[in-house]
Amino acid sequence: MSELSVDPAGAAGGQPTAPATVGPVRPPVYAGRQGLGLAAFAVALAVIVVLADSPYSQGLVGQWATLAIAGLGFYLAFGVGGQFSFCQAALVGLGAYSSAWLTQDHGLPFALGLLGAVAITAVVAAGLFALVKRCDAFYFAIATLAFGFLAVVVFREWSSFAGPGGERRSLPGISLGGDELSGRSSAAAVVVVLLLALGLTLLVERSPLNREAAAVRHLPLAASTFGIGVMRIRATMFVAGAAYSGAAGSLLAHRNRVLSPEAFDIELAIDIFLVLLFGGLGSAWGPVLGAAFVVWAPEQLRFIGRDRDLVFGGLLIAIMIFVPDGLVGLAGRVQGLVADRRRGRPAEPAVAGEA
Amino acid sequence: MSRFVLLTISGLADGAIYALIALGFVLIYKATGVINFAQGDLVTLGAYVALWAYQDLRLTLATSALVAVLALACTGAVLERVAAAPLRGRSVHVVVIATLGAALVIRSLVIRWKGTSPQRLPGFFGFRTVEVLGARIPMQNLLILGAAALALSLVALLLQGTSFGRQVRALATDRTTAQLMGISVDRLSMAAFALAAALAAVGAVLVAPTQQLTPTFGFGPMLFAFAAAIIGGFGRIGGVALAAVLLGVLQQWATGYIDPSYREIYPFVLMLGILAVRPKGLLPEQVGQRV
Repeated sequence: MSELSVDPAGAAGGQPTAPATVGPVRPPVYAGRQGLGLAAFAVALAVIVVLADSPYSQGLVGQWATLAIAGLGFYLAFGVGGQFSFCQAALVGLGAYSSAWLTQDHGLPFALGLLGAVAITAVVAAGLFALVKRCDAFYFAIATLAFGFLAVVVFREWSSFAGPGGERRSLPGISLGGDELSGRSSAAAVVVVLLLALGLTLLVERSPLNREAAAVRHLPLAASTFGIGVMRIRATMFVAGAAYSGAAGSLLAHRNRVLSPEAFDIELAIDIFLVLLFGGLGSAWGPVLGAAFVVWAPEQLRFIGRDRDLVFGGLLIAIMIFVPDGLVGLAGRVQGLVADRRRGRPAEPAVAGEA
Repeated sequence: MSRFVLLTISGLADGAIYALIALGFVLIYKATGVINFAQGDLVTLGAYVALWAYQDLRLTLATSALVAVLALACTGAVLERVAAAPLRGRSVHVVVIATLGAALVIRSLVIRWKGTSPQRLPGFFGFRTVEVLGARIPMQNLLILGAAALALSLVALLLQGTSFGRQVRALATDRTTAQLMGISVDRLSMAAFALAAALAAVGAVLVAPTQQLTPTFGFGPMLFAFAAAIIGGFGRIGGVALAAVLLGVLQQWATGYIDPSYREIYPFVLMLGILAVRPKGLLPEQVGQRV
């Protein structure tokens, strides 16, 4: 349903050269009707939540929405901010343990646990960023990878925060105004958070911030000579991405009600990569689609279920080689091709916005 | 005193292993400009191949080790063909992600092949120890030190004294000019991956007898090797080897004298601390910085 509203850079990229109709050149972000798309998406989600009548399908919806939020966080940090952050899974874990610590140990309600998780994750990420902000791409990637590994060990060893051995059981579920939500309404709550997160990301996407971020991503030196604060943009995106991960972690904790440190290991990190890369780096809709694939595929295709890592690992390589801009980019390229054909122009290669 | 000697020699042995793995990163980085995140799973694979040759083919330990090194060299070359060659010239992130995918594939194949239950590769000396300054040192540790020193010197000689080494160094200094001068990136890149994987296998057969062999066996050492490579500045082999040995020793001291439960994270705390002060490592690369 969301392909219709997708805003492909490739489709709109060729238009400003059209003769006669001279007007202000519209950046591709404004071409799609994002508000309409989001509304349609909300309606579709409402239908999905109503249709999901078994605990199994409600669980899948919740899992998908949670993973999509985490993927949006990675999209902000990497897709928009251009920083290869390897610690998204650990940040999800930090959000989960923070929320568990606030609600289970300090008796706060779920909503405050969620907000607290977002705040704690953002603060820790800001500290991490301050430590490694001057490193270049590889060093940043490895430093964040190391942080991720370190965080999992800390979850396991720091029992007053994460529980003995990092194991927490019988966490409170998702609740609203004191009443614990169950099944469908709990899935609906997660979906509402996803909608908020997606809406916010779409706003960021069409704001000047995104334009500046694109400049920082591709030509940091040129951007800084134009007065764009390179560090400020990178920090903003990294911390915002962390905040999203924190929210995803909190939802994960209260939906699953059990936590163990292994859940935030490299496996989850790979899942989050796949969510973004399969969906597409170039658009906020990418992670939403990608999460649907990562959650749904192993359930539907049993042969994947058994060899999940094998298939996903191979897929990761194949995506990088053949469709580096993911499903959304692919849809955009097809749409651009069709539009060009209709206008009687030779198809030109889609302009990929990403490296 | 004996405790100190024991910790120090264990640390030196750990460091030697990290140095072997880190050397693989540095070689690939110099030749191709990317980092291979599958290095840790190549270590795992090397150990399992040696175990297979020893248990199933009933070869001697030395022959099994040789089989593992050769098999891994081939695996490295294949890995380069599949996950790095098609992505030549693309952003470094893309190649990193592809090698990560390859790591996942290797790990799940190892699990399918050998299962997840812990196994053990026997060492040349079993559990025999020698007494050094009052400490009982496992002979395996001394073997690790000697063999790693030998392997490192061989690679250093290879880089300094052969045509291959000169070409790799030329690529690392200035890719474009080197290519214009007719250096074949394709061939060198494959050779670097093969050599790096072979080094991973050497490290694997040396370290496997000292611990349990599981499908995630190589992942931790890979991360420590990353830390060593970063602290050493990624450019110079001597710097990286020194950093690796230092890291191993400091890790053992911290484990022995501070708190053993955080054993796995001391190297990273050190690395993050160093990166905060020196974002390019302690001994940064001198020529031709890559973006």
